[in-house]
Amino acid sequence: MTNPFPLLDLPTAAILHVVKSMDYGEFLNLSFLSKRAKKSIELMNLKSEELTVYIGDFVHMNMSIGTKRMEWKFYYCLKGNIIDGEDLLEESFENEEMDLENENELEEEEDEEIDYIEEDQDIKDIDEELEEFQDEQEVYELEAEEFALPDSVELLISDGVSSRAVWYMESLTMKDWIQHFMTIFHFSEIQHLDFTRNSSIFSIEEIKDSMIAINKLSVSSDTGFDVDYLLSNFHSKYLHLGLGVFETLKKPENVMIRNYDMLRIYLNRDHPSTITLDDLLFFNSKTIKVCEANWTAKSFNRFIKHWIKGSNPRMEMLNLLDFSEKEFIDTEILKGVRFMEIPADQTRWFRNQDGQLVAFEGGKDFYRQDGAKATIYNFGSYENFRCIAMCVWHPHCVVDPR
Amino acid sequence: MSVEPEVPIVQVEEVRENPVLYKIISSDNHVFTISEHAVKLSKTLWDLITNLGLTAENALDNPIPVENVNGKNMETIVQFCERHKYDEEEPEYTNYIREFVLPEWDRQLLSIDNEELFQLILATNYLDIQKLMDYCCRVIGDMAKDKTPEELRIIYGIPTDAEDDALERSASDSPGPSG
Repeated sequence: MTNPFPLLDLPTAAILHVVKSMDYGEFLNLSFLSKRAKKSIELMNLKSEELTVYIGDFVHMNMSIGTKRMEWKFYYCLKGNIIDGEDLLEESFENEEMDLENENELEEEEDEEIDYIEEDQDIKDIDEELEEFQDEQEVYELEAEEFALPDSVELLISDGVSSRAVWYMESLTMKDWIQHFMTIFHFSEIQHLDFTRNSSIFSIEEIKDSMIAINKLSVSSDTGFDVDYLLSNFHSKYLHLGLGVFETLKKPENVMIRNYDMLRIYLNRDHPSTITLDDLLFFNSKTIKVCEANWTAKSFNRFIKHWIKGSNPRMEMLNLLDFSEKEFIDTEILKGVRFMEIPADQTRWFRNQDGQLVAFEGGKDFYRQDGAKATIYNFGSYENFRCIAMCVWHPHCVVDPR
Repeated sequence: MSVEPEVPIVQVEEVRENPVLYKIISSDNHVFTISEHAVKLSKTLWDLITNLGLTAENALDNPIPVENVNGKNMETIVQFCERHKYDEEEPEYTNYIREFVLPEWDRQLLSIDNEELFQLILATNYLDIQKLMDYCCRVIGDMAKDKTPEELRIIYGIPTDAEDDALERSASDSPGPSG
């Protein structure tokens, strides 16, 4: 047997050179072996430019470094009491496939316990199990094991050529994985945490305990969570409530008064608007986007008059998307307000909360009592729906034309 | 020197222009001759030659001592530099994994045992030969292909945290040079 190659005894520059010649799955394997090994991977100074975590009935994490895209999938053993037989079958096949690919690895790591599937369970067993479930036609509660302890983790990498790696590391918690990624991929917050379908199979407390700071939080309508409770546990700069989620809030004012950098709400078109003028006066976010707001020109005109008198002082941008009132014209919105029409060929640049520049061509300017200037801008229409933007020219939002 | 080479010997020849040759002495007193184009691949050696003011006229009379590299490694290095002396300059490799194909001649040159490879990398690092460094590190990186974490621990002799801690403790407990 040949002697090992003493990688960590090389000069730092040489170690760095070696690990750079490895594939992601390979150097990540190395990083799990010891603190010293992990340190050498940190020296690569890899920086994740994008990090999105989706929590559904499994956890999915997207990262990108340069042109390389990494997709992490954290699988959980769903307990026997699954919602229906089909789900069990899919889950079992998925896990079976991974088991087969890692048969050798499992043999070597005999002390690793993977208890969500019998290793000798074959397709026939699964078929029988499915039939049994279908015969009984019982609907079971979907329930996962602890969020903190994924059963297996899969990495898919694409950068022209795709590659895949799978880990079965029973002792590594979700928190450990995230902390590990933080040091190797040099990030301090999760850019986007998205609660999607069936995420309520996990406990909010456990998810919260595993996570770090969050920049943007998205919640879809089919999470199964009590959204008020969910939002009281997760704080972020951006909040995006998916279609119909706002309507499920028991205390929507808790969302309205929070000082988000951006709050985006998709109301349900089939329901009467649940956001009234009074509600709008409550909003404390810098950028507010409301889809399907279903307001009248008259109520928006009243909002503008309140703003002129001093309401919503923190607001920088208000976007009302998919206006349904066809007669909703700018002159009605600004009825009784002194405004100045800006020529359509005059472009002004607005710096939004992300520092991005937004072009405003024309629009109607008006002023509030403290001298702050705002512009109402009709930025287009489609399918008879109008989209209106109101921007407030705070000094930090104004871009010098030079 | 009586080292048996396992790879084809590359003759030192300067056919494209008048040959300028330099002499290098390894740590174990073996003398090697290397052409100007080849020696330029080593940043350390070329800086030394420039700083010493060696010219075509006096180069062979002033051998350059290299204390940190033994004869066996120096022979490999000279072979490598002579082989690649006319290669076009390549861009520095970044984080792009395995972005070059390791030529068969070089793979054969670097098919040596791990201890020798380790010493060769130290020598290459000292002599600052970028291309040889890329190739050596690629050979070592390739050892990780399709391996599990525990296999990597064996291949690269990675101690556990407990072993590292114990090693650190024993190093701090041992008396220093004066003790």
